Parts: sequence; structure tokens; C-alpha cells
Amino acid sequence: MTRTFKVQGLTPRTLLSHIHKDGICRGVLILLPLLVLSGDLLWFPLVYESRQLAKNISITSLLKEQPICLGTLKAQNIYVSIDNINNSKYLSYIKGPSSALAISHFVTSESQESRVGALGQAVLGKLASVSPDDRRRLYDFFNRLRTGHAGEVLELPLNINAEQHRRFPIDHLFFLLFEQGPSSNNKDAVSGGITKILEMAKRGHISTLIIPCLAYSWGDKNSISFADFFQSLFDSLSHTYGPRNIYLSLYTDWPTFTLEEAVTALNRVWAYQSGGFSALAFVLYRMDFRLTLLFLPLCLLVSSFFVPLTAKNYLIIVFSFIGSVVGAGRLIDFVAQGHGSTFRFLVQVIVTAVLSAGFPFLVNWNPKNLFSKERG
Amino acid sequence: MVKRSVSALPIGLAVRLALDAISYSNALPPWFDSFTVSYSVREKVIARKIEQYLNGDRPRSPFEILVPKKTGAPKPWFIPSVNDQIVLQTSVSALAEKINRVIDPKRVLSYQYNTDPNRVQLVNS
Repeated sequence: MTRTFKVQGLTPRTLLSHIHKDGICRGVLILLPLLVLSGDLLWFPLVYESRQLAKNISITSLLKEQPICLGTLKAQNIYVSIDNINNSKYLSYIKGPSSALAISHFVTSESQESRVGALGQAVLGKLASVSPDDRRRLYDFFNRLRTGHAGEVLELPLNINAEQHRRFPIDHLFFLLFEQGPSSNNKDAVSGGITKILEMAKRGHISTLIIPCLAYSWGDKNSISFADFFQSLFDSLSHTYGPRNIYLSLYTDWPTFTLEEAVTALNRVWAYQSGGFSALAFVLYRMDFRLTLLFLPLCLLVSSFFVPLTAKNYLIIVFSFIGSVVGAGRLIDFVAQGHGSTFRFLVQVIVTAVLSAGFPFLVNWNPKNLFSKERG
Repeated sequence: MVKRSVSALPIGLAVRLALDAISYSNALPPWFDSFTVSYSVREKVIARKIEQYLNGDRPRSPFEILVPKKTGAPKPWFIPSVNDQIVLQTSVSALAEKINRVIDPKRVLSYQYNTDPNRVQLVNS
């Protein structure tokens, strides 16, 4: 079918004006999906769902420059840094509108007692000089915190004024409760607690979350191991959409052998976690949706040479194309079984491009036509 | 200007290399546990010292000791202060990686630059 217009009785000027108006209208309709795509990119300004930037981090590089970006996991950019809260440049590298720090706090279920961890004490000390009001609120918060169970998460927003904010760029504190005693028993609390922190941070529109090695104490031989901590952490990260930036914060004053142990465990766990998208592989964020919107204008353009883009035709083409792409997704999964994410991505791009460019022809393909009686 | 250029130096790495990793120079006496070192404080001290040197201060003379050679003749050994050893290590660490990048490893017949990501060491052990 070719495109026809009723042009009889029109002067050349009105005909040109008609064509011009029609061309603009057609262009707007064709480009509408790109407008939706732009809106989606503004609403979710993320490119990667997962990618591996570094196979591992080198401890000597980390001591020279920081933070180091490991990659992206579940749309969360993961960085590693070595920090000390008493340093004047503490967290000076973080960017973003709001940031939060996770802290461990220790409770005893039998007696109504609690103990502030080393980082909690350091935060109290820092707030004394940066924001005395927040220090008082945190002190009262610790005093009231007598009961709780391991894995529970509590939060406290801070109100540090803009002048002092660069000295302690934290807007929110999350407290993960642990049972007092050997922290090696707290593995489940770490796993569940971090998931809760990620969810709460997401709900609170926190863009940057700093996670130190919670419940770890280098002087305690019964402390949770780095391998267990990082495994629990990455398990939580790979199952939850949390804040955009996650900083894994190691401690500056750990002895060198402890730092080596931490980096070894981190590298091992990251290698395991990023195995599915190693080297050049990556997974784009909202890939199916964005790829469909990207190729929809091509489909509309090609289709517009065969049928006029009336409202009805437009909707039919849009929904048929989306249906075809969604259906093709199952076929792509079938073909890409056992291959990496890059192969799947390439197949998906090729299939979507072919579907969009050949849409007017492909929709006429019907197996029934092959075997119909008329044909024989 | 000096402050900015000093903050770019790998002082944190140099402190750990000099105090924990490089055993042949034994920067610290054997009765000194390395985990009692406050690395962040030491880093600040070294940064200040480098600034002073860049502003014209001269380091103190190294400790000198006469060590007998095989022939029996004494040979002087010069041992800089612990902080000066770290300052020297900072200079080495600032250059080592850049130099290693342009060197053909097949032609290095002595120490190879550290390639183990999990170890704090200057050369492969």
C-alpha cells in the first residue's frame, strides 16, 4: 500500500503549506518516543545496570589515590576508599546532594545495655567541633538506645550547616545493631541490615552511602572476617536498588597486614560477583525499555512511507512494535543462552534494528499464508 | 602551591613501605611494633617535613656508623632518620610506577616492580 493524499483542487501554495504542516506533524510523531526516552534518562540518569571497571583493586594504588571505582552493580556505582574521620579531608571526594554514613552499634538482648562502637565515638567527637547541636542529639540518641535486636536499623538525620558541611559531608546516619560479643556470629545481621540500610537510603533519596566494615575489629580474633563481611555486602548490593554511589570505606590506621587482608577479601568477592559481566561486558540500565524507545522512531519513519500516521495507525504501529520487541526478547534469551551479556546485547540491538527497519514487511509474515489452500 | 603538590605525593604508601614492607633498611627498631604506628598522624608529619624541605630547610645529617668490610677496613654507613627514610621512599614511590611503565620487564634481571594487587611492597617478593 502506498501513501496517497487528496490534493485535487488545491493551489501549489496551499499544497506546499499542507505538505509542510503534514511534515511537521509527522516529524513530531516520529520523534515522540525520543522525547519519552529523554524524559526517562532525566528521571533515571543512569547508564549502566552493571559493569566491571576494575578486575581488582591494587592496595598500592588505593594508598596513592582514592577513591577507586570498582564498577557498577544493580545501578549502584561502587567505590573503595581508605578513610579516617579525624582527617581534615575526610570524604572530601564525595559528590551528590545527600550522603549517609552507616555505623555499627552494639546491644545486649538480655540486659538493657548498649555500647557505642569506635566509629560512633569518632562521629561524636567530630560533631562536637562541626555541629554541637547534632552532637547533643546523637548523644541523647545513644542514651535512649537501650533495647533492640541484631540486624535492626535506626536512622538519625543531621543538620550540619553549609559552612561546616565540607568538614563532615554527612546528612544522615544509619545505625546497624549487633549483638555484643564475637561479631563472627553477626553475619546474618550484616546481610539483612545492609539490605535494610540500602532500602531506607533509597526511600530517603540519599545519593551517596558510605559503608565501613561494620562490626569488624582488627584487634578481636573472633571478629567477623572480611570475606564474610564483603560477601554479605555484595549479596545485599546485588539484590537491592540502593543509592547511586556506594563507598566501601576501609580504615587508614589499620595495620598493613589487616589492610592487605581486607583488599584480598574484597578482590576475591568482587571477582566472583562481577564474573557475569567481566572485561568488556556490561548491562545497560532499563535496557529493553530504552532500546525499544530508541528504535521506535525508525519503525515509525519506515511505516510512515506505507501508511499515513493517523492517531489510530500510530497507536497500532507503536503497540505492535513494542509487542514484537517484547516477544523477540524471549527468542534472544533462547539464542544467547550460555553467552555473556555483551553477546546478548549485540543480538538484541541487531534484532531490534531489523524489526524496526523491516516492520511493514515483517508484520505481513504469517505461517498460515504459506500453507493456505488458495496458494496451492 | 607547595601544599597542593605535596598532597599529591604518595605519602601514605611510603609510610607503610618504609615502616612495614622494606625489611633490609629496618627503619624501626625490632622492639617497635608496626601496628602501634598511627599512619594518619605519621602521614601528616611527613607532609609537613616535605613542605619544610621544599621551602629550603636542610635535613639533619644522617647517623654514621663504621662497619668493618671483609678485608677488615672500616666502611662508613649512613643511616638517615626514620622520617627522612620515609621522605626518600615517597620520592621513590612517586616515580617507580611511571618508570616501570616504560621499562621492558624481559630486560629487568633484578627486582621486578610489585604486581601483586593484594600486597604492600615495592618489588615482587
